[in-house]
Amino acid sequence: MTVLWQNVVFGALIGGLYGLAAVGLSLVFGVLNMLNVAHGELLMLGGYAAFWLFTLFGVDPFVSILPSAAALFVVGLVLYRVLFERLASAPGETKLKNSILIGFGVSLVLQTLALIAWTADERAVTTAAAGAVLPLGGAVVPVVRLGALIVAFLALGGLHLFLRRARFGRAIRATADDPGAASLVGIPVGTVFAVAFGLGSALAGVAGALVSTTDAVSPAIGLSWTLKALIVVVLGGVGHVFGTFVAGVLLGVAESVSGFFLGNAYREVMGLVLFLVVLSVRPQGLFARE
Amino acid sequence: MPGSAAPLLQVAALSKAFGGLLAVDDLSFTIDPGEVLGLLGPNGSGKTTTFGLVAGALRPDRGDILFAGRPVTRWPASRRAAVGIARTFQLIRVFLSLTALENVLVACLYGRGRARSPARARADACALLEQVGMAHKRDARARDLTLGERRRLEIARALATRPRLLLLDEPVAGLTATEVDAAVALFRGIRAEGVAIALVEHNVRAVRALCDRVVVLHAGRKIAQGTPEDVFAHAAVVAAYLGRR
Repeated sequence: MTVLWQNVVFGALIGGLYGLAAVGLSLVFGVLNMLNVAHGELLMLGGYAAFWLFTLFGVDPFVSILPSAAALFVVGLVLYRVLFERLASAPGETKLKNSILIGFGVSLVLQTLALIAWTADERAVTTAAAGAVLPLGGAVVPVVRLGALIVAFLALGGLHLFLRRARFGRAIRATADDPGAASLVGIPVGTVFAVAFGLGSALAGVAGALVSTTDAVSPAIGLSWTLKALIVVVLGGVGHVFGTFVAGVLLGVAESVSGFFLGNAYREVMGLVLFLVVLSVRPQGLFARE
Repeated sequence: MPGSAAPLLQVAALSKAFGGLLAVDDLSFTIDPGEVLGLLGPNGSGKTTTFGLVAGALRPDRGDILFAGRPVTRWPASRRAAVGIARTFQLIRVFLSLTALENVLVACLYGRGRARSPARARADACALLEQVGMAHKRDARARDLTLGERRRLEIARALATRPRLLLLDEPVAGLTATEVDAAVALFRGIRAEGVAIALVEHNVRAVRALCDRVVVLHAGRKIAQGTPEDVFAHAAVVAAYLGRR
């Protein structure tokens, strides 16, 4: 029983990061109707940013979140302006398909660049709090993972408030609903697109910095994170920040529990099974209103 | 520029073809500041295409569009909106996931004559919702509003950009008789503030009540124009073209 509970706790902790990774992907998809399959590679870059800031300057990864987010925001803006922007006015289907192709290209390039720059070694950050745990109903909660979950939650809360309350946040939501009508009321739709892409990338940067505290960072981790994020987006439905976060936690728990009952080999399988079931039974996502 | 009172909108020899079909054929008309012009004609006669050309959603093959004396023929829709051409759509396009207030607020924050402060924008948006009779629904999401409410919301959003010319595409279609009367009163109020209106509408009662002048289109060509009385009296030829029977 305790072991099962421990698995649930661990699943929930890792799932928070799935949720965070997914919200960035979902934001870009919801606003631009583009699927950035290089999202996981952006997360990987965020992980390396935190790793090197820690290794070279001793900066705690929880502090590195900010520079990592800022750096990835810029990377996202540049990627958008150089590669994705030309798709912005294409019809929906073409835009989606071509963005996936471009994203694949970007992910291969980023992986290779990371491999050349930083080798294939798995990196991890071992902070002062690395071994510390808190008890929780018979299970133990690693402090660092709990911290990562809390930061993920706070980041999403901030995003939620920004989208709901801020002037530019409202412009982003209006553009997501109808870019044509948004442009007619004076919203600078081109800027909104670029900033939304940058924000999605910045969230990948935050997620990457958090991942570096708990899991390995290597040039190859991107695809697996993109897949997790995709599954979570499908589970949660597009356009619901907290729905996506909860879906992330659910996926984490489902993976962890199925790993416990069926063996670790089935962890990933469970996620994909959930993905297929939800896609066929409730394609709008678990938390969408309609 | 003819006369002292220059027209607000001048459409000259406008043509637009889709494939082999001439949707708008050598069309010319003007709208004066503060005037309400009706565009009439059966379905497929080119009314909505004309709107698209004036608003900038479509590019004409030939002809010119002058707004306040400036040639805007090559301008994109957003730039025309920025100088004061606002429109509503036949199929309503409000921001469904935003609340009624937010729909108008974004237009107050970003549109022509944008508000100087968030508080001011909010006050403006509330006043506009009040004007279109939607104050009680301000915190409802647009997706939860009825068709008539969405239409009024779309009009409030268009007004928030402080237009000088408002293009209304079938604004009373699908409304009940009471709602039509309310809409007519609303448009009169908008016009009283000096906003010119171009109206595509099949509802004869609304056209009679509102329009100073009407232009009748058939197969993309202008076949009649004048006051609503003149045009509606214009015997069977014209009557045949007046909308859905």
